[in-house]
This record gives sequence, structure tokens and C-alpha cells, in this order.
Amino acid sequence: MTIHLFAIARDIARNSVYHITDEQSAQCRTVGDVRHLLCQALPALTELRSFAIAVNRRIADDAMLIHPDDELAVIPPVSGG
Amino acid sequence: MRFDINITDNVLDISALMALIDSPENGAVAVFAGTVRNATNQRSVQYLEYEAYMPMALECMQEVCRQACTIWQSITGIVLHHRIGRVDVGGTAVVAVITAQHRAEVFVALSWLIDAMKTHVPIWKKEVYADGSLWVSAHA
Repeated sequence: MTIHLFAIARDIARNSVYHITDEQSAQCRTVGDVRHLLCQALPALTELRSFAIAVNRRIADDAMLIHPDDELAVIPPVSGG
Repeated sequence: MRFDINITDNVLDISALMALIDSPENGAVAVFAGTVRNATNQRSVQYLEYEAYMPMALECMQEVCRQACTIWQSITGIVLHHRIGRVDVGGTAVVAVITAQHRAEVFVALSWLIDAMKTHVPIWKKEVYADGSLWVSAHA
């Protein structure tokens, strides 16, 4: 499973995607599980004002179940305009 | 009802964008152009670098336009275009145009639309200084 990273999240990871291994994927049933994994793997994410996780291009609650084909993305605080 | 939504690395031409929803039925056209300041918190800004999660950003821009038209039903058209990539000081980063038959609603709708875009659409800006850079709003 691949998570898209943007802006400061991409800078933190030094990559525009974060790959979840099959072993990790088995432990990631919900958006909250993905958030926990990301915060462990990329602790600088916890220093942000906040970050959301989008599933299939919509902001998702931590309780939402994820599926292997879902499009996941880390959404740091937005700042357009 | 006409929407024209775009995210582009091309220069935004305000007159051309206004023409996209021009119509003889309109009695009011309100335009907002967000431009790049030369300083933030007394720190000199050289340019801004914008980035978008393109498919989600376009969907979110559509959604805020739909919501605006639900709230203000006399709106006849909305243009919302945002730049990505480098935008130099003085350059235009975003343009919003709202048309209606009468003026009262376009002012308030335009202000609401820009606020909604700034808080809901996954677009990010990095301020670039002579001695570094900063993703705006990333940290508390």
C-alpha cells in the first residue's frame, strides 16, 4: 500500500510516497492505524500543527476502515490562496 | 450556472477569467485576486512555491463552488483558478470571480468562497526567503 505525501510531509519523508509493507499493512485496518504507523516512522509529523489523512480524496476519520485499493494521502495544514 | 475551476502553472489573466462567465444576464461581477506580498512578519519573501494534491484539490474546489451556489442561489457563475509552482512577488496566485444579477450577494459570497478555499482545499504554499524557506501554517 502506498501513501501519497505532500508539502512538508514530503519534505519530512524526503519522498513523495511512503510504502507500507505487506507485514505493516496487515496491522493497518483503520485510518487511525495508518496515522499511528506514520507517526512512528516519521516522528516529525507529530510536530506539525495537525495533519489529516485522505482516503480516496476525502478527509477521513481515524475510525474509517481502509481497503487495499484505497488511495491514501497525508494532508498537512493547507495554506492555499 | 457555470463553474470554471482550474489549477495551473500558467500566469492567471484576470480579464480572460472574467470573460469565461460573462453573460448579458449579469448585473454584478465581483473579482478577487490573491497576490504575493514581499514580506511576512517583517521577513523578506523572494517568491512563493505552491503545490497541490491535484485531483482532490479540484474536487474540493468544485465542492466549495457548489456550496456557495446552494447558499446564494442568485449566483450565475463562478471562476476559481489557482496557481501552482513558483509565483514571484506581485504575481497573482489565485483568482475568484462570482457573477449574479445583483451586487449584494456577490460580495459576501466571494469572501466566503475564498475563506472556504483557504481552509478546505489541499493546496500548500512555501515562502522562500534569501536564507531559507517555510511551509506556511505547517507548525503551530
